[in-house]
Amino acid sequence: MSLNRFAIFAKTKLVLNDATPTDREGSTSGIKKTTKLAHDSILDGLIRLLIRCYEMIQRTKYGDVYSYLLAIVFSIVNLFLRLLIAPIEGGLQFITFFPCVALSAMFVGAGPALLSTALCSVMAGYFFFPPYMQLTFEFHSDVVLSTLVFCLDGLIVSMSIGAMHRYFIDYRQTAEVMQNKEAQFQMIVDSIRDYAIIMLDVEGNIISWNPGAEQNNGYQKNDILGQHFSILYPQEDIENGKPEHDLGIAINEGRFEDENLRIRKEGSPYKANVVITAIRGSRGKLSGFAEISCDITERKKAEMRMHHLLYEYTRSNDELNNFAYVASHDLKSPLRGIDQLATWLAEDLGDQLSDGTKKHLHLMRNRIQRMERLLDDLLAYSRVGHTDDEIVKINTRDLVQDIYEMITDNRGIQLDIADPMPVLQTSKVPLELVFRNLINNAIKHHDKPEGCIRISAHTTTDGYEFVVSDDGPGIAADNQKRVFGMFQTLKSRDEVEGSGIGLSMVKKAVESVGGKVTLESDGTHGCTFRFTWPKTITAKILNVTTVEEKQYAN
Amino acid sequence: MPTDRQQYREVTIVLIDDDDVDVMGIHRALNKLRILNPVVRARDGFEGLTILRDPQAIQRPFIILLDINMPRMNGLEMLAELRNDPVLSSSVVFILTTSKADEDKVAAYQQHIAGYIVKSNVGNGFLQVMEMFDRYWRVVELPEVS
Repeated sequence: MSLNRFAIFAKTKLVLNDATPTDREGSTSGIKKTTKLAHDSILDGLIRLLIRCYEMIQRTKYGDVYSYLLAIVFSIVNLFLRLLIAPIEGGLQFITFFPCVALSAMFVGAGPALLSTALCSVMAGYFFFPPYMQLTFEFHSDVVLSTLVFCLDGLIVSMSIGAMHRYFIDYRQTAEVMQNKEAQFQMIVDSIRDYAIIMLDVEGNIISWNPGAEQNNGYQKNDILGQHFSILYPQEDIENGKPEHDLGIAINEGRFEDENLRIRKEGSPYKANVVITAIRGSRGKLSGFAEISCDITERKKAEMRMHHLLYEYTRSNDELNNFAYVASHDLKSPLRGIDQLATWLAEDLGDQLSDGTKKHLHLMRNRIQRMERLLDDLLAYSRVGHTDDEIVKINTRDLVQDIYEMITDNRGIQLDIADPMPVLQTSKVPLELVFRNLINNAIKHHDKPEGCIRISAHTTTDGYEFVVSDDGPGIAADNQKRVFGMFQTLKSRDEVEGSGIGLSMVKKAVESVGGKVTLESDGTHGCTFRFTWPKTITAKILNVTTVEEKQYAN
Repeated sequence: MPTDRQQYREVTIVLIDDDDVDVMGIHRALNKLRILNPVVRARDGFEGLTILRDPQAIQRPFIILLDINMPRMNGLEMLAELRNDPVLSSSVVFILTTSKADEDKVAAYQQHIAGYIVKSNVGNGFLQVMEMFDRYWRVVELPEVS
């Protein structure tokens, strides 16, 4: 994007260069040039003087009024000059007034010149035709004719010289605008450090070199101007004709873009993103090239690092999943072996077993079951957030009710669902897992024969917040962080069976969809779990965000 | 019982499992149920295929009880080989494994297994499974794989 913008700037500049003849074109003949210069300098000086005066007048508040006043002044001065060179009755009635008309047209334009013409014709009639210096309304035909001819001539002179005046003013203003633009462009180009902006002529010789190019390539501006731009290419590319090839593409397609290997002044290579744009004049004639390049070595390195990190992250993630899967399977089969052997011992020994041994065998099988559940839960935990399950419409009220019916053992713990509960399009498995574990915990850990679980929901800016609160024993502040950890239980497993993985699964499931889970409890009057759930989730996006977060963290 | 057994050809159980205790469990269950069908055991997929491809090694018909997690060649790999084998592709295969993973179940059923049995679900040893099989081959006609 930014490269394109530079290319447009570059184009403007070369077009400007096109408009003013360059030194190279002018240097064909030395003698011609000097005569032309002397000749030009007088004309230029005059024009410049005229225009500067005009601009000075125009810049004042009543520029136009002054222009007309100036024309009047010219006319009066002209009258005095006429009186100086000949007596009143000495003829030369009109011819001597042309200078003021011409000067007015040159200095201040056609309008004031016309005023001057009118003024002069009146003055000529008054002063230089008999009766001299008297107003008369008896017109002789030759006087009328002369006056008309003068007016017509004055009109022609005013219009033609006025048009020239207009042309010069326009030209100068355009030139000024262009100069400003060029200066701006040059300032931008000079202030750019990260991009090398180079202008090439039609043959590929370097004709401009910005500080960015200096920084990227190491050449000073004076060293490189006039050199062929292939100096920036590696030797191998030069031999293969790549510089010409690149220019060829720019000529044929208007633009060449690629990641090229470039060589710095001291010989070290670097990777650059290069854009070469062919620059054409108004008639489509090729006038040169703009080459904008940027050293992307660092970017490439960063990209590589990112790919590497991504790969590492995916790999370790896969490994972890694989580990959890394999571990729970491979750990389970010997466990089952132990279980079976214990059963066979009990079967085979039958009556020979003492009560103590029977009890020990029972405890052993109990521990085996516990271990099996731990492994199952570990596996389930490792799979949370990885199921690419479909997005379905879920009525959360029904979901919560169903879960409660499934879990409850009619111990007197009631379920109270507050209105309204949202109906949302989401991934069912993790949401169900969260509610199941929270409701299950509330029932399992309740310390009174009767109680109530309250469930409510409200919308947030980008989703919902669900609240599951109970009136059980609560969780003391010290333990509130612990409960979300893996295999954390607050009571011994012999008192309350549980692997201690439920809440860590809740946390993982909520976070896997981009939500947050919090716990509030004073440690005596029950606890309140709040979790947020986004309105829309896509598993793929989630994975990407976690990867990115991971990278930023690194 | 013996008269019953005369009426159908005895089905060979090809047991492919690397866990000795599980194999013992199956033998125990068979003994308890007084099922006298021949049992041929292999420790992994390779061994299993070798035995199955040897026409003298086992009496036909047979059913295969296949574990998934095994060294060298696991159950799913062996199943794929089996389905590509022109002679053995019609074999009746039951998966008998500790894996509850959905991927495993789907992958196994995609290879046209007759049933997927999870070992920890079998309760009292393999008694229920073996009881089921005893009924299964009385009722179900098996292909005569040559």
